[in-house]
Amino acid sequence: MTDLRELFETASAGAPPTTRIDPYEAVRASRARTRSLRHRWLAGGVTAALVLGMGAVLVPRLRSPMAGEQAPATTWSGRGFDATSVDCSNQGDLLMKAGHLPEDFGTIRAAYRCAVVDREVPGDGVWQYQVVRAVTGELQQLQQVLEEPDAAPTSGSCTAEFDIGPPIWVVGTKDAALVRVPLDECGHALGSAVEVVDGLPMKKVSAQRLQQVESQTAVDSGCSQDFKDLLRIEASTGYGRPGTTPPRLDEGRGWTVCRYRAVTQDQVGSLASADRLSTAQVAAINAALAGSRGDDTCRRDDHSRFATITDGNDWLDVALDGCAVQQGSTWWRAPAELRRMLTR
Amino acid sequence: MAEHPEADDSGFVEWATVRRSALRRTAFLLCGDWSAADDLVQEALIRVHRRWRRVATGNPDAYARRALTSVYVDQTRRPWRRESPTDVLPERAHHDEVATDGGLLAALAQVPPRQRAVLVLRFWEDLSIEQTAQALGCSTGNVKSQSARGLARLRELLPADELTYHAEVVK
Repeated sequence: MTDLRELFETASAGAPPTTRIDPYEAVRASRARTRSLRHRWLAGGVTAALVLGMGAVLVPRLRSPMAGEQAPATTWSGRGFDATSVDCSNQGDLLMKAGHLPEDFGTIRAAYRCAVVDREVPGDGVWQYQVVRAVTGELQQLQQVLEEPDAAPTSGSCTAEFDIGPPIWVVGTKDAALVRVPLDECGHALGSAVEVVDGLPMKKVSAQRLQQVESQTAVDSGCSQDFKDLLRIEASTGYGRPGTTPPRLDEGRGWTVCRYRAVTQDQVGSLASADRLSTAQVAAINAALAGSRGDDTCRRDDHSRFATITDGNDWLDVALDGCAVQQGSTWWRAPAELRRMLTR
Repeated sequence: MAEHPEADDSGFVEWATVRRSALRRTAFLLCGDWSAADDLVQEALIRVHRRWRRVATGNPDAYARRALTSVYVDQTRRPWRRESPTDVLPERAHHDEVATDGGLLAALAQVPPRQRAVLVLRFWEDLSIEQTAQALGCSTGNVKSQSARGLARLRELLPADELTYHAEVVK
């Protein structure tokens, strides 16, 4: 007799090593992920990884050919430097502009860090903020760290992570510069230097709203702010088949209808409204669904609005101004009554 | 007052570092592929971090399991991650393979995603029916029915006399 748990134990034993699960990268990705990137994560994962600097590629390769490691730091006049001019909203831009502290920079008199974070705003959903913090002490220690040279490139194998560590805006007696910490022989941020920078005393000097990440409707309902329009996607891929028996919602579960404005060219809808459904409403929807008929001609992409009824595990999609209702990979012609009930 | 730039992440990295191996094994049992499991866990960690201030004081493990299963189930409905439908099921696992990981994984691969998630949470994570329902965001009745169907499917694919489990699941 074999216990199922023992089978699971055996099956999952002997995991191969991995470098792809990285809590630090998760922090960075969580902070940097923009609305559009968040919902195109799977499709555009490679692109996002390169742009956002979280591209830990499994295949070992030579030292990363990262532009930032060779490029000089971007500098400008330090006279009248305004901390509110610090801009880290474009992570990819920072990767290209941050360089090693210039040799003739002189004494660092002020330093700033910048991060993009998500914050809930009561009654207004979740917003992305750019937060600038000033280093309030230990500038001499920071200078010592930043003056250390980059390590000589290795001819050995390295993982192709484009990781330059935290960008730092430093202000000297004459100039200001956007710099990074020294790099190791693989072109990665030197861990000991990052630790020093992360340990510096800081004080927030500004917080600027960038964009709304989730609406209050999304927060309250649990619906995703943006959602893949599977009706449109699968109409284009030819996936699925017409149904024989009508779809049905389990009336013992809690359902929410999320209504989306279709449809951008990347086949993602934007949340317009949402409602949690009562048991009576679910029963009424089931009554309407009973009139659904398998119809492959409804596999179309000419709708401009769609609704997703979900309990978090199952989804039933309806084209509100179109033809189809879809559950799983099966299509039906949606009764007009169903569309009327779901339209707000 | 001085403020550490990572103040909002207090404890996240430490928690994730300790828990990632266990999450990875669970993810592997869900999807059957170590590479995909890595992606699942990393995505789940990102979701946990986004809510870290809320979950840190509660039960981050439970939230992580929910995130993990949610990512897994969500991915199964995306066309580019879906397996191609087929009318012909692969042959049953040979009895000699049953005790190996390959036998179980081959069988699990034929169990629908939600049923598979229930089985993994119940029998690998040792969650109760209520905890599994919470992790999957569904009712306890649904967990029971999914467990029963998932086990029935496994029994079809694995010899019944070689598979035991807690009987309470199918009550």
